[in-house]
Amino acid sequence: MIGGMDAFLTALIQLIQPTNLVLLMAGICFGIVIGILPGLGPPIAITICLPFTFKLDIIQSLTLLLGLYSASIYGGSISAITLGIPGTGAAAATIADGYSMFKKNRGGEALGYALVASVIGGLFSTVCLALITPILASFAMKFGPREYFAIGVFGMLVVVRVAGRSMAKGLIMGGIGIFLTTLGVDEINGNMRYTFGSYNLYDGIPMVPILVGLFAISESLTNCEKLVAPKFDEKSLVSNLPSIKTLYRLKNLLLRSSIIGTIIGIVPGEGAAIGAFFSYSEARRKSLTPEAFGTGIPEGVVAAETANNATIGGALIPTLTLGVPGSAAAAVLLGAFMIQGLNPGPKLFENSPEVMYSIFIGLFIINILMLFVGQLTIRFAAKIIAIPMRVVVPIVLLLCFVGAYCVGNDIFGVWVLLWIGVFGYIVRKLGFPIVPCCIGFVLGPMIETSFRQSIVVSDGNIISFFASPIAGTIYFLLILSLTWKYLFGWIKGLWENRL
Amino acid sequence: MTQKTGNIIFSILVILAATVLIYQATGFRGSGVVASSELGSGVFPIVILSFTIVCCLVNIFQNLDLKAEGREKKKIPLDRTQFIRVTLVFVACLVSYFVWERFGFLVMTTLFMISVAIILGVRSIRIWLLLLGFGPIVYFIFDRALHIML
Repeated sequence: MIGGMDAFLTALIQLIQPTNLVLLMAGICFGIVIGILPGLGPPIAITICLPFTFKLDIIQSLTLLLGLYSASIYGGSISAITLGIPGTGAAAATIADGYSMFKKNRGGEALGYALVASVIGGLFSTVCLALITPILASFAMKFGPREYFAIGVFGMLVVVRVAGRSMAKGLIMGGIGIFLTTLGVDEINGNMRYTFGSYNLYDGIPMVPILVGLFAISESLTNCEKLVAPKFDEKSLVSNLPSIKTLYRLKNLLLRSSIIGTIIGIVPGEGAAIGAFFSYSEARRKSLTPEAFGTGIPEGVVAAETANNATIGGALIPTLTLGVPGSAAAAVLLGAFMIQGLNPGPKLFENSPEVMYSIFIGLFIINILMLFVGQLTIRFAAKIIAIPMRVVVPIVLLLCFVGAYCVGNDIFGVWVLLWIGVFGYIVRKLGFPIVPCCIGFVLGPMIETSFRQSIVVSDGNIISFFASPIAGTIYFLLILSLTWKYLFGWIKGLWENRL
Repeated sequence: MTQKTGNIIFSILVILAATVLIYQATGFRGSGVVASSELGSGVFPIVILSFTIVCCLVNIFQNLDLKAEGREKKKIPLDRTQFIRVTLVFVACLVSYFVWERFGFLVMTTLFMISVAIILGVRSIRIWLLLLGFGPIVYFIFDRALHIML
């Protein structure tokens, strides 16, 4: 066991302290509330609560933020089932069968399946996280600048590919995100770049205002457009948990969806929404009655909800071991780690094993608690859903101002927040995805540093970028991921011609 | 405005900005006495900006492609009322920034909540009270409980 039993016990003892348990519960409750409200999601939940973590120690911060992350993904399913409007993008796949069940007066059943499936998916991916992370971390110790450059490029291009329909738009946003990291002092040479004579830019653009502005401010401005609160029948909001016998009958579906969600979560940029849709389509494909999907069957809800919560542990694997965020929410979590003085990467396990164990144990406890807290919160969901945007928008905006200010106790952060926020709003209107900009901003320093170091190591020879077997494998996987559809079609065509 | 027009204008603006920034990057100091193969400070920004310019050109070309179905007519989803509302909220945010800088957090939060509530058409007394009380609550939590001065 890396770090020894001491680190594991230290983490466990700290987590079961009353303060940490209260923070866990608070994170879960608030996460579910944010997840229920359409238009807000895990990245916004985490960014809003970030300023509250500045005075907490690292384990307390992590428990709060991880609780928010997990619970907000589940919370999206409540409005997906009751209103047919996903509270988060991850819950979009739940609408097909969840909302159909609700319309047939089986809403309680659907909510129960969603809750239990989310918990099972979350627990499975937590176990995978605990098992895979140490192995990947020790493997990543062999990485040098060329490997990190390859990983950075892989992370960026995969995110761009899945972020929207147009790769060009995704690459533009990724390029802008990476460029923004070049402002300020060049860490290698000490030269000033793009400071425009302002001392505020000497340290570059702060991360939190960028992340908060891109997600929360742009979303709040979008929410200003339509202020009508959704309506539905409150009386049907009671959760009925499925029996153990029913869960046993669905064991294959639960296992398959958990695996799909975890693997999808590991791939950078492939967030919970993609995991949910992929799992749903696989469940339909494997089903003996695929035509029943979409009419209101529990299997549809279970497939989507298991996978979307399973992406959480998966997304944390590259985030913690390589510093490459597995999702937009993981990118914001990465920012939170850095604010707390942690540098995610292979050495995190070596330097702070108790932090890693607290993440594993914390996620485990979060998923168990969510089973109870989720049932309680459903009773109040009606009131939460009825909160008008006229209330949500000004409150979220104010919390964003506070968050941006608190990072450096500098009002310059608020200035950055506002302009990045309106930039995010405009580009979303034009159909540009904002996630590549966020991921580009997070990965930019790593990409630049590893690129320049690689040039020094290889004495200016670009070919040697591909000479490393690990880097070469990563580039091969990248090309495969970008072209697999065409390759698959070509191979399928060849096979059909042979037949 | 259609999506096509908006995308072309945005791409042109990015190209212009990138060109100016590339020109600035050529003036950054070099690497000095470190290894001769090390890249100067301006190389990476120039590479990224050049790449972004190429992507913008591709985006412009894709939007000018006359065979693209529907793109000609697809409008940006924003009507006049919504545009005014969003603009006013953003202006309220900008004004709040200056008020905060000069008069402090409590004054800012009061003015901000009042202005946004008016813009969004809040009529309920309960919501007004909630919004007006939220700022002082946040101030209390951060200043007294968390000891972070706002």
